[in-house]
Amino acid sequence: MSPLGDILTIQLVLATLRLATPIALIALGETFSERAGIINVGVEGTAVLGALVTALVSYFTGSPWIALIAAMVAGGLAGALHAVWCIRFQANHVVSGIGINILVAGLALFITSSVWGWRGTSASAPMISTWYITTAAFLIIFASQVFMFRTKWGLRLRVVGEKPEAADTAGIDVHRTRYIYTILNGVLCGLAGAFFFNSVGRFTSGMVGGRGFIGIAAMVIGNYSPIGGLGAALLFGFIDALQMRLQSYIPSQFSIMLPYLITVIALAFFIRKANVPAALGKHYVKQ
Amino acid sequence: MIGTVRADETNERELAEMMVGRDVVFTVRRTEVKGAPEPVLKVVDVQAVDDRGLLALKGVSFELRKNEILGIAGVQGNGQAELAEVLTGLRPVKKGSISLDGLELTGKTARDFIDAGIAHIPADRHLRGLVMDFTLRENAILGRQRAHEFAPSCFWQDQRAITRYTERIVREFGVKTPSVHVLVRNLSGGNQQRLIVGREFSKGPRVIIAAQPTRGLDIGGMEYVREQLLAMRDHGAAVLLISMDLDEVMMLSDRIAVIYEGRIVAIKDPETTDRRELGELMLSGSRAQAGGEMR
Amino acid sequence: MKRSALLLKGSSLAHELGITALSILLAFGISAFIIWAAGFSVSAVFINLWKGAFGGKLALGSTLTKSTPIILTSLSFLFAFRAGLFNIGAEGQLYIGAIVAAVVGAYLNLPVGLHVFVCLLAAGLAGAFWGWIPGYLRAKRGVNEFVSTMMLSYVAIGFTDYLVAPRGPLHDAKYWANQTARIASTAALPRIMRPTQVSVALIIAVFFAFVVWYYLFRTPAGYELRSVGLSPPAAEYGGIRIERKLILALSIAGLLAGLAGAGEVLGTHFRFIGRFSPGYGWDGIAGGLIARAHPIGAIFAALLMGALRAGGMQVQRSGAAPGDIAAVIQGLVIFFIIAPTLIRVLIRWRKR
Repeated sequence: MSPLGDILTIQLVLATLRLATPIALIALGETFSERAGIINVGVEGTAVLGALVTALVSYFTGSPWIALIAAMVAGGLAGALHAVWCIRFQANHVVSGIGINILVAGLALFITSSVWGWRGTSASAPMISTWYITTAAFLIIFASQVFMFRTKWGLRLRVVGEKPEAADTAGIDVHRTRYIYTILNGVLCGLAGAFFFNSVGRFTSGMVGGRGFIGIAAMVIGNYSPIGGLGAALLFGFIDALQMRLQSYIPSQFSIMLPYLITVIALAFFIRKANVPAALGKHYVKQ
Repeated sequence: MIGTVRADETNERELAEMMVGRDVVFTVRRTEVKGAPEPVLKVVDVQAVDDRGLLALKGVSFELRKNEILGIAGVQGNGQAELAEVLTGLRPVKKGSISLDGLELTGKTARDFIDAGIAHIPADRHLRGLVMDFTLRENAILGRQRAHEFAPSCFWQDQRAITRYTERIVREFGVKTPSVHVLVRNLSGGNQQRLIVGREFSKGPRVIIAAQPTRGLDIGGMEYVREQLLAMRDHGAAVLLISMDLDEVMMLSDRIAVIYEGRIVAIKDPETTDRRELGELMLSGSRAQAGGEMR
Repeated sequence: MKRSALLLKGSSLAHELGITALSILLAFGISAFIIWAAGFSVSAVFINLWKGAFGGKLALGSTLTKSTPIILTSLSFLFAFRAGLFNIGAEGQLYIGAIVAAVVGAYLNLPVGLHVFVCLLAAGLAGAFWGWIPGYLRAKRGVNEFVSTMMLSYVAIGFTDYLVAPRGPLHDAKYWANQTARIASTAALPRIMRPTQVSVALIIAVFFAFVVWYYLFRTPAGYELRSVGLSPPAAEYGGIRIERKLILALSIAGLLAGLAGAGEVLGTHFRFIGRFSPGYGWDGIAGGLIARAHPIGAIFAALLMGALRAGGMQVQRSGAAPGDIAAVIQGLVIFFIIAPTLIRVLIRWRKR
């Protein structure tokens, strides 16, 4: 069989769907919070936290389903922390997100060493099929598209990110809305983290490996819409799947670089600035 | 000439006097300038788009003369903001040309406009006119940060010269501040505006683009800025006054240009026109009742 | 009065220092709780942390060695930050600088003195190039530099690792490990605190802190850079070409991080080792934030980061707790330092 035929198989399609899942979830979460006006670059760390918590809970309870819920709760808490920092304490959004990433990176090493005695790696623990998460992700994304552009709550969300003063005048609680969607972002990132754990059945500190940032890139390329983000995530998922196949043909260090390089190139060529929410990253002070 | 106070303004004037505790000059003294008008800034058929990409200036032409204030009257959103930006190099010209004393400025950068001697009091002082988290000192040299008197070489800023210069502006333009080392964010709006006016006028400009120079000021500050504009005019500057306040335009201008939907629809002499005529032009752009066209 | 977002927004030096000190104290307090909750001895951890960082010449040498690259990566982060940009790709720029320093150091034949200088220069330029790419993409194509610098970091780490891997072109055939050949002795930076690994790179790093300070606060170009960072519309009004400043800021940020990598190769390891950095680039983000984007502050912030790394290793060796507690402390410090109103709110609570 020719190398090309060897690479392009139904397995590749399935791998694309699978690998796109966490990126699409993170892109969706970020779409929600940025539409409300909160940038969260802590999605990377939040996903790491989700994976770590899944490993911990699955290891100690033996139930991967409880672990899945726990990951989403932990992600939500990280989102809440970010929201408090950005809204209540008026931290710069990007800086606060960096804070989450650094803090979680430290915690992941400390906790794995403390619990399992291995730096940055957990023991293996019960897992579920990632297809559950992939299926759920697709359903959530399509529902979110309808929610965001076809319901009054979706409209309220977009107004808060676009014109917070107008939202306030119309009786929408700007801060509460921002808290809700930043927490939702965290929950979705926690779910993405659970995906990472369940794809191998153990936690390793490098397992998210920048997929959080790629999720943000997917959101930008998808122009702040759930479906658009999914489309971009599928592109990155495909690249990821492809690079895994290519590892038998080119040095692995090279193929590992591929998704990151493609992300930069994609950003440079697909960039559209049309839908950036007007009040993104700005603190809203109630008059 | 000395203008007159109309009867229906009396109460307003008394009120104003009570507020500032002294006689307020609502009317201003304008000295006549002898000799033929000398055009300085020539604007020919300029077109430009707004932030959304729509045509906001649809062919604007006028000339701005030495020793004059040309007022731009118009309802907000008829191209005034874009006009000010085009004349300071902050917005690209789509068509047409701008020249200062024969020096072609079309397509040049904001830097070139500053170096050519065009000062700019921007309409939005918080956004454009000041770096809110810079000190007074730092803001005092904005636009002239590379001038030889402040930066003798690209490796050296003369800190003392900057401090002295800032202190002079603070003194001459009455900026109330505890020191020149505080952030302008901590100044009141009026004092921020005085700093901008002081900075722009201290450049020795040939042309001043003054957009909404008195907006948001208290009466004392308003009066002060208006006096300064007239003083600059008397010293030979060519002033373009863009203001939504029709009374202000009528009071200060030597000529009044009415802008409507991105076009200058008429240029009037303030002594022969009145609020009604200008108002009609501003609202409809119609020349139907306009008489006494002025060149 | 509304006081928002960026750390740069003004207040007095004493006030800033006070908040920084309180944040660090608070972080240590919460870490103590975490250590206790995880079932370790708080006092043993803190004693070993101190011993590993400052207890004796060897410990101090370890702290200083680790602080050296972090000073430069902190400068890298804050330089871009002053222009309103987030350079979170110092790690990658560091690797690019390091590999170039190693190649020039190993394969070029130059006299003493000149050789080191050429190595540093080449490494700085290579790092600058790696910073120029996201700078250019940001200025011309509007690509978010946050994502692109991060992505390019992964690319740089993978690419350099490939170069020195067993089948790679720069692999040293004498050893199995992913590394280059040893650099010539003419390219080495002298050690200044034997027997520790502290080298002249430390002096270079501190020197650059002052250079960056001078550039930002005492030259017209630095003035322009800072005005772009604080208010792009006002900078534009002041006749400043914003695009150029953005590209310049990320290029210089890359240069500083590239020098950090060169210092590691020329002063510490004397060769390029694949994935040698324990995260000095990421530490630079923390350092720049803790320093509140002040170049001189970066020296002290980097010292804190270096001390935490050195102390963490001692904690690990002593068995008091996992050494990574240091990374947790680092994360907490940042978290408290970045919320401008947090400490004020806490003080108000206490008074209530």
